[in-house]
Amino acid sequence: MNDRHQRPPFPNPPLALTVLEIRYPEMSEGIGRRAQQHMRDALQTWLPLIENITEDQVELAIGAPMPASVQRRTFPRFVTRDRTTALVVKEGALVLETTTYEGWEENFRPMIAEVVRALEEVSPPDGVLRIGLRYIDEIRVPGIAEVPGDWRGYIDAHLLAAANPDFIPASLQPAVWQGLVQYKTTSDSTLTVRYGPQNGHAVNPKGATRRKNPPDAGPFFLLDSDSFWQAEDEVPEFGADSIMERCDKLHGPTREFFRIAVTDKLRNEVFEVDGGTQK
Amino acid sequence: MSTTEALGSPTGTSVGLGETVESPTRTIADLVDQAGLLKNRTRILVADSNEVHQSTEDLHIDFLSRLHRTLSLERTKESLSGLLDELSDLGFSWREIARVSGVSVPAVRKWRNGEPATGENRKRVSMVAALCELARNQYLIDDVASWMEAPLHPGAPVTVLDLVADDRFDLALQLASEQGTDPERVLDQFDPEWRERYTSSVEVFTAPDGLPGVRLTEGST
Repeated sequence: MNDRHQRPPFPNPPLALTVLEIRYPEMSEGIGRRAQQHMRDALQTWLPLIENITEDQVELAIGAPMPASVQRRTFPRFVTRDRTTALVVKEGALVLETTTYEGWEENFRPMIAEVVRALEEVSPPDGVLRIGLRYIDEIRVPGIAEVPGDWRGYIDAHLLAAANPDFIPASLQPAVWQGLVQYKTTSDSTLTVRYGPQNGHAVNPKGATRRKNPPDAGPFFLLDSDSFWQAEDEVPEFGADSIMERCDKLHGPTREFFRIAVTDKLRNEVFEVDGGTQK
Repeated sequence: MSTTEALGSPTGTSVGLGETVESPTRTIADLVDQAGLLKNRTRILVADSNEVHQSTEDLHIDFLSRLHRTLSLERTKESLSGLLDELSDLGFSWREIARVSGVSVPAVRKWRNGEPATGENRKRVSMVAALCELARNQYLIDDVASWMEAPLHPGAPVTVLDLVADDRFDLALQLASEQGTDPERVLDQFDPEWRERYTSSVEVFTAPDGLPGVRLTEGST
């Protein structure tokens, strides 16, 4: 089945944030200024702006009669001109995230590949410890104005069991609930899904990574799919090809779960309706 | 950003419950917030550890003072001339003994010849003897007299004898028990203005003829 029908881009997408995190053994010096410049050149097409984030590191000796010393250090944040996509590279991890996901093959995968190749070229870490691909959906349906809301017909009934009035007595009124499940997707990778009705926002609408036209705070159904691989026995080398291979394997289960969770009704009546609940 | 905070924190248990789910893939906000959180936690930890350190130090000083008082009381039972001889044998001059006892040298001489001392004076001599005993036996300071006569800091001529003469046995005990401790902390407690008080307006310099000379320091004229 065509990915476009299972994952955004929809005219009215529920996806609030897509994140890729790669953790690696700490680089003692981080990435230097020269490497930053090379990264910037390599990512010019995708992430043309570079900003520095300042972080204070506090060192202390417990019990010693001396004040804690504070070391200030900066690390780069590469962003798109509209600030909806950003990359942060730190000593022990890089995070690439976007609030304007335009499809795996179409946009996000090529961007990951570019980032990984750039880092491999300018300042390759000693290995890879963990790769996580996470999709956070805030599903909002017109007419559901109160928490927890009646999601029957929009979300697959199996995921609504905790609030199913057919067997949950009236004396137990679900107020807020959240399901959490972990699936082994391969011998060394896992899909963690958090789901359930929530209120407000799952992704901060005023965060540094800008959300274009964020919806008003209100009831939504959270679908937070976190597909990750973790090095268990051996720490493999940091290689762009093997990382992309793993990313492809991580992407599959998130797409699959999304397909299971949302109904055709939700897809047709909400996601495919231009404008919809999204401003 | 958190997707689980909406549920609030769970009811606590007396036993730690294992984490059943690994920490999620982090967003940039998580990564940066983590640094901020760590910073705040560290600040709290620094404050807590300093507080604990201070409490422990207070307890320790309190314990030392009690120990010193008990030992002093014991030693008041001994003859005064015996206590004076003991101090003299340790290397203290009669002048120093008189000073820390708060009396004149002739008064000490009279005590040595068997003349009676007031209860207060007897107590004071026994306190000095008890301090020396603790310093030697408990804190392994072999040459107690030299230790008490040596200046605590190159920038101030204050000695342990000065502390004792001023009735600050607590500070003397602190120094004895924590050899290697920063003497500036002790001096700060003894005389908060010691830095200004002992700032020298002259300095030694090597003159063009190669001989040492003395001159006023800059800003002191």
